[in-house]
Amino acid sequence: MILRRRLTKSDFPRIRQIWKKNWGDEFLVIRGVVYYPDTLDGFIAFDGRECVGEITFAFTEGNCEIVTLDSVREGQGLGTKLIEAVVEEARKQNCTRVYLITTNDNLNALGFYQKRGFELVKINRGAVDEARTLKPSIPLVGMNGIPLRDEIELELRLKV
Amino acid sequence: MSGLMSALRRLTEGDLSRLRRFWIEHWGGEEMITRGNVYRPEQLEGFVIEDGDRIAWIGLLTFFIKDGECEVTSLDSLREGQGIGTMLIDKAIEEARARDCRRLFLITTNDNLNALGFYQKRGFEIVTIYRGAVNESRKRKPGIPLVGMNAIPLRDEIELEMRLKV
Repeated sequence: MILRRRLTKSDFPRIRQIWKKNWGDEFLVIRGVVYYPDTLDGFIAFDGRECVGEITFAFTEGNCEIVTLDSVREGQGLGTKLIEAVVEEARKQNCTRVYLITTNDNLNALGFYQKRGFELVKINRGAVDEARTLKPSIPLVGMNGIPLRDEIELELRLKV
Repeated sequence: MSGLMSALRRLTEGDLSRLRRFWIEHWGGEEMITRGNVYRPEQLEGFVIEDGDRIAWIGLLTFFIKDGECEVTSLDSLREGQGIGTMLIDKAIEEARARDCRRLFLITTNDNLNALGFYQKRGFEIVTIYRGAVNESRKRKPGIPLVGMNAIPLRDEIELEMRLKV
């Protein structure tokens, strides 16, 4: 039985740990902006005492940006549930869209989000090369043996 | 792979009807539409890899050279993971260089994660996403399905390129 609840202040150390492990550092750089867990909203999922997933997001001018999504159990629908929770929250806040930035090497994310109704919006060529100047831990070669170089924006339009 | 190499050859006029049948079988029609341009087999050049007995086509690449640019209009490998696609792409790069092209490019679609991986691993970069371009193509070629590979709605064209040093 997996339980999901809103992120609280006491979760931030744990989120930082997850980020460090999965994203190379305790902060993220997206479109030149630095994100720390402490400034974000989110949900966290537990199976008993074990943390099995997290999603973080932020509201900006009628938009909801998903900043991170991590699930330790692939293929069990946890990612989908976390996305749904954020979409529901975005609807409540009258957002016109939910969007996120992924990278050119992340074919899993491109598949995952597109299968769930998100559409490709645009590619920011070389944006990861820029981010790397702020966060040198970003590798040169990413997943699938692909040079890590660009940011790709995906969005889900919400009916208002 | 030397046996395969010897079976890689340039397409000739005599291959046209076979090329049409191949496209119909693998791409759902005998024309290819990218960015609103319609390509028919008779306009294109290409390379084919035949299997040992020279009967079956196990790999096919077609391309179109114009204004110093080489567009790969189709690439098929009927045997995955044996380097057939790589061999054909390498041959296309060699050809584009020999003919003084500034770049080699191609259009894939938003559902085709395999292609995004394959080309990016081989030095191609994503250039642009043409949102809704497949919806436009579908008006001319109704055989293009609404849902593509990986259960992803088929909607956009994505351009990838390799810059060639001149």
